[in-house]
Parts: sequence; structure tokens; C-alpha cells
Amino acid sequence: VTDRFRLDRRPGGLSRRDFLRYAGTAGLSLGALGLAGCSDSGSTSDAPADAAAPQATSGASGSAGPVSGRVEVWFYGEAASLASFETIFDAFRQLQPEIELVTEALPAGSWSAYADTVASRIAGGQVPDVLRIATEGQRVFAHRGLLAPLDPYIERDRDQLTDFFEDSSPQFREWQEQFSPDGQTYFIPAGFNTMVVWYNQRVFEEAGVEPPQDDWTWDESRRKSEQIFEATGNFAMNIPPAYFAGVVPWLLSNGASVMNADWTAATLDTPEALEATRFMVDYVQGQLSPEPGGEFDQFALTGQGEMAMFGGGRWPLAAIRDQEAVDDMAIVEWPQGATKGTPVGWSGWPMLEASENKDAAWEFLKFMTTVEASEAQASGGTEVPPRESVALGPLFAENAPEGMGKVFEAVEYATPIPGPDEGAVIQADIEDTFEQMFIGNVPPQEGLEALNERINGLLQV
Amino acid sequence: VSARPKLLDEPAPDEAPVEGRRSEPKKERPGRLRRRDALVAYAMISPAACFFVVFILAPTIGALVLSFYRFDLLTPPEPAGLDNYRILFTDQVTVTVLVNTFVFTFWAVLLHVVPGLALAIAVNRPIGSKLKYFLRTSYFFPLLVSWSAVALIWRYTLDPNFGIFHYYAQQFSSTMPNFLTSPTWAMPALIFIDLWKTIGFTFIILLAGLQTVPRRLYEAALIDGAGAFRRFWNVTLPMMSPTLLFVLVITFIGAFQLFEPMFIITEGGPGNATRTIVMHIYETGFRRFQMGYASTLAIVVLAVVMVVTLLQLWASRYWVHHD
Repeated sequence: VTDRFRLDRRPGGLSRRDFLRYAGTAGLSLGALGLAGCSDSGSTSDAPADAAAPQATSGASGSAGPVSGRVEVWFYGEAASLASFETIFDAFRQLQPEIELVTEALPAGSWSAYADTVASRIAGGQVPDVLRIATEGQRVFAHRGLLAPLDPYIERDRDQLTDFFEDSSPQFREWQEQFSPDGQTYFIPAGFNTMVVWYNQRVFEEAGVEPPQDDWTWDESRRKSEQIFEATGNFAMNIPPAYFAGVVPWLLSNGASVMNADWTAATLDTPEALEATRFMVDYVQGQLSPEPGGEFDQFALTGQGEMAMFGGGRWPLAAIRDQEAVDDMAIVEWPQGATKGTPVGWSGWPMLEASENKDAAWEFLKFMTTVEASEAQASGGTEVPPRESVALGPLFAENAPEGMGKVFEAVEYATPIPGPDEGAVIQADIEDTFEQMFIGNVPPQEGLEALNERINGLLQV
Repeated sequence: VSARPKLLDEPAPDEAPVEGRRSEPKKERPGRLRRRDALVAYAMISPAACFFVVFILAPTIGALVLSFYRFDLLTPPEPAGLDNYRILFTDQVTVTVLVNTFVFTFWAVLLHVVPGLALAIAVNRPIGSKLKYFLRTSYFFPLLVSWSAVALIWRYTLDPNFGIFHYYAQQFSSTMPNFLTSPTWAMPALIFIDLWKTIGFTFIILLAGLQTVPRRLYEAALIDGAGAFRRFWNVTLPMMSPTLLFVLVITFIGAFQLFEPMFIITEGGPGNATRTIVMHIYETGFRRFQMGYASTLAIVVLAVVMVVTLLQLWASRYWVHHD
């Protein structure tokens, strides 16, 4: 196991760290020729390389006794979820006072941008012990040997984890297998989000429009939107050219997708994808949705009754609470085109292969499977917690709009959001192309065909 | 008569001159001073030299080395020979982003120098000190705001649904283009936003240069009957030419390497309309994990900046006055 997953060493080859170190040292040495007073410059390149060369053994140590040492954890930094994470971290510190838990929230614009940040920092010699990573990044990290297989630990502590695996969604198992390069387990499930429709009940009531029901269709959503626009003059629903929160739910609810199931080829040249795109374009150009090209707060506008609906998962809750609009809001399933569909993005906690303190890191991962951790996540988090009993419990629904549980229920028919190795570039291209189609710069068919070709080109790199 | 100050090495009057002794210090003193001066000089420049070596020279050499490798950041690098340089000449996106970068840089330099000089001359006129202080602060203030905040301000301002520009256009029954998503308007919008944020730097440098022009030259020109334009053309511009050269060089280098507004405001779009070479380097290296090719592009940027700067310095001999 150790040899197979080692990050830095390759028989007969130059390691990544050695390469960086030699390149840096060569540069410094050349530059330092004839220069007085720079004798300590060499240490500048040595320090990160040495610090970033942890070569611990893989696999559980065999004993589940007391552990200690330093564990560094990185996670996606969102203001809305910081408090709940701090609650979780503090609880762990109290439970394991011998373990020095160091946490760092990495802010980013999206999960794929966060994955890029993590990769860059790892390349720069900073390697955490544990990391939170979402669908947009899981495969690239697992396939490049950066993560340690968790099966030996799970096997060792099976008794303590049985309750968690029985209580968590069976889909996690499927998704793990989909992302695993060798069938082994690399992630402890951290949570997920699906896409549902949030709507302001007061807007519907004042416009005299029947509020949507779970089995509503695209045609109904269009009709209701037109009625609301006619009655109020306001936008009905925001359809942004966003990857997870805009484009993909409409594609999936028409039986289309961005890519095939194993993310090896683009599938945007299908009639279903074209139909879904034309529906979105007509929605925006019919002034039922704001035109992209600037900045506005869709959650605040809807909370204030200036817009009727928006798509989202669990994460808009903090903004809606800030608006004190929880009682006005309600949640329904995504409207159906040709089929019922929505994306799911899930996050997991992997342990880094380069971690020097795997036993302590494992203790942290185990703690993340507890009811306590799921409950802290449910009360203030931006994701659905992994434990079903918590996601369907009173804490998750507390101070939340009616129908909050639908974000959890949607996982039954949801499709994982594609996150291939070139995910960040592909996502940016999809968002840019749909933006151009929305505002009429590019016709839908032409835009989709060109985009399909570009994505295929990127997937074949 | 005041006493002549005694030199340190001058022998005391009661000391008898000894053959050979008087000439000894004369031989040692210059050498000793030179060594001491050299040591002091080395000590003085060593922080800057260390900084240059660690943060500029070494990364440059590192980038040069990397440009001959395939390196995805996460796995060991593999030698690539000249492959990255071959890709450079077939990559259509690189041509597009280089053209974008030159277009942005041309307008940025032109619009920073000409209005910057006009603003500096306007503020340098005899106006009330409070008004002068207010104007100086107003022009310079946007420079203190981070690019992230500036990006957000302008994304809100230019929003086609709720932005203030579109609101006032509607009040006058007019329409505005969707600035940030239009292939025609996105680049001009970024040039304008960059001008709004950074013209304060050019302005303050040119104002400082303007204040060093000796007043007697204007007085002499006035006596000779020179009008306002003559005084500007024959006095202000020649005397400002070293400052203008500095501003041209600095503005060119800054504009050519600008990254933040394209990355935050338009993300290089629509399409590649506002994608610049430095953004392309970032995306190639840190989004596509092609660090070898990204380094090759970085070497191109280094070469372009170096050649244009040298051209500017060479051309300066024909128009810069060092009086």
C-alpha cells in the first residue's frame, strides 16, 4: 500500500519535490554567484522542500489506543458555515485534548476554485493531514495518489462506524466507487447539496398565482412566471448561467447532461440538451429572469419579495435567515421537463497520503461521523449532513422554510455533478458559453456544438 | 584668520618627518578606504540584491527550467524538450490573448499618460490649497481600494437589471449595452475601470514631476512672449520628459501584466474577449495544471516586457532631456 500511494517517489524518476527543490536551488545558486551577503538564501528553497517531504507509512497502525500530535485540517471557507465548523472543532478538541487540531478555512469562489487552491498549496509544499473536498476535485485528488485509502482504518474501527454507515445515504457508497481509482475508500462523507426551488409564498399570494407543487413541470413554471411578471412587473425566477446552480438542473430535468456517466465525453449535442438550453434562453430573453452581466443578490431580492423564486440547495438558508424571510419562503422540487432530475454535489473528508500523523487524523475523521458533528452541521451548515436521522430530524428543519427536507429527499433521483480532472476550466467555459447564449451573443445550437467540441478536447488531454 | 581644519592623517607639528614615513599613509589610505567603501556599498545593496535573487532571478530561472518539462503540479515532472515551445506557435488562444493584452496595454498607457498629465497640470495651477488637496485625494483615492472591492462596485454599477447606469438610462428612455458580457464593450469597460482605479498613480507622479520644473523658465518664456501652448510645448514637456519616460515604462509593465480585473470582473469573457496573457498563464498553470506550458508563456511575457522596455529606453535618447 505504501509504495502504491507514495506521492513523491517514483522508481528511476525525479520526484516532484526534488524537482522543485533542485530548480529552486539551481536558480538561487546561479543568482548568488558573485553576490556577497546572501549566504542564507539557499535555505529559502530548502525549508519548504524539507517541510513538505513527510513520508509516513500508509495503513492503520493496528491499535486504536490514545493518539496525540498535530493534525492540520483544511476546509472550504464560507462565512455561513464557519460557526458550525468551529463548534465541531471545539468539540473534537475537548474530546481529544492530546491532539493539536489546526484548522484553516480556504475561501474560494467555487468548489472547483477551492480544489485549484488546494492543489497549488500542496504543490508548494504545504500538505494538510485532512481536507474537505467536494465532487469538483475528488477524482483528481484520488486518481493522482494524493489520498490515503481509509479501508484499513474503517476495518479496524468497524464497530464504531457501523452506526454511521447505516445512518448515511446509500448513494455515498455508489459515489465513492465512482470516484475511486482502485475500488478503495478515500472519503468519509461530509455532506451534500441538491438543487430545489425556493419561492416566496407572499409573492405568489399577492400575484394571485397558485404556488408550485412538487410534481410541477417546466410548462407550469413558465406559466406561473409569466403570471407573476404580469401581476408584479418583477422577475419571476433567476436562471443564472452557473454550472451547479443554474445550467445543470435544467439539463438533468430534461434527460440531458453535460457529460456521460463516467465523465469521458461531452453530451451537450443532444436534442434534449438543446431543448433545455432553448427553454433557459427563452426564460431570460422573455425577461422572466434577470439578464446576466453584473451583480445582484438573488436571495435578498426574493426574501424581500422583489423576485418570486430561485434555485438553490441548503446554502441560501443563512441569507434567508438574515433577511428574516424564513416564514415567507417555501421549497419545492425542481420542475420536470422530460424527466425528474437534479444534480448532487457531495463533499468528503479524505486523509492525505503524505500525512505524518495518520492515526490522529483518523481520530478526527471518525469524529466527523458522530451524531454531534452532523447536528452541528445541521443547525448552521450550508450542506445536508451525512446522517439521515439528522437530515430528517427537527434540528435540520428548525428555523428553515417549509419543505427543507426536500433537499435531502432529492438525492434519490439526483445525478452527481460532473467533476473531471479539467473541471475548473470546463466549468468556466460552460458558464461563459451559457451566458453568451442567454444574452443572445451566440445561438443555442451553435453554442452547444462548439462547447461540446471544446469539452471533448479538454477531456482528451 | 580661521585655523585650517587639521586632517586626520596629518602629522603633528612636533613630529619630525621621516623619510618614507610620510608617503606610507598615502599609499595605504586610498586602498583601505576603497575596501571599506566597497564593504559598505555591498552591505547597503545586499538586501535589495538578496530580494532580487530570491524573488526575481531564481523564479525566472526556475520558470525557464520548467518550460522544458511537463509538470502537472501533483505528480513528478517529465522532460518535454521543446514541446512546450512548439505548442506556443500552434496555440490560437495564445495569439488571441496576446492581441488582447497589447490592445489593453496600448489604451491603458495612452489614457493614463495624456489625461494623467492634463489632470496634473490642472491641479498644479494656482488654485486654493483646500481645493487642491481635495482634488489630489479624490484622484488618488481609488488606488487605495483593493481590486476585489473595485470589481464588486463596478459589477453592481454595470448590472443590466439593477445597475445605476441602466437605471438612469431608463429614466431618459434610453438603453445601455450589457457592458460586461458584450464582446464589443467588455474590453473598453475594463480599460475604463482600470483607468478609474489607477490613474491616481500616474497623476501623482506627473504632478510631482511638474512641481520640479523651475519657475524661472516659465518667467523667461513669458518675457519672451510665449503663449500658454508654447510654454507647455517648449518648457513643460521637455522638463517633464524624464518623468514621462518613467511613467511610460511603469504603466506599460503594469498594464501588460494586469490580472485582477479580467479575472474578477469578466473572467476573461465573453469568450476570450478580455482574456489576457497573464490570466492565460494562471489558467494554464493552476486550472489546467500544465505548469510547463504556463512557464513557457511566462518566458514570453518576460521577453516582451524586456524588449519593449529596452525599446522605450533606447528611444528616450531622442526625446528625453536630462538638463
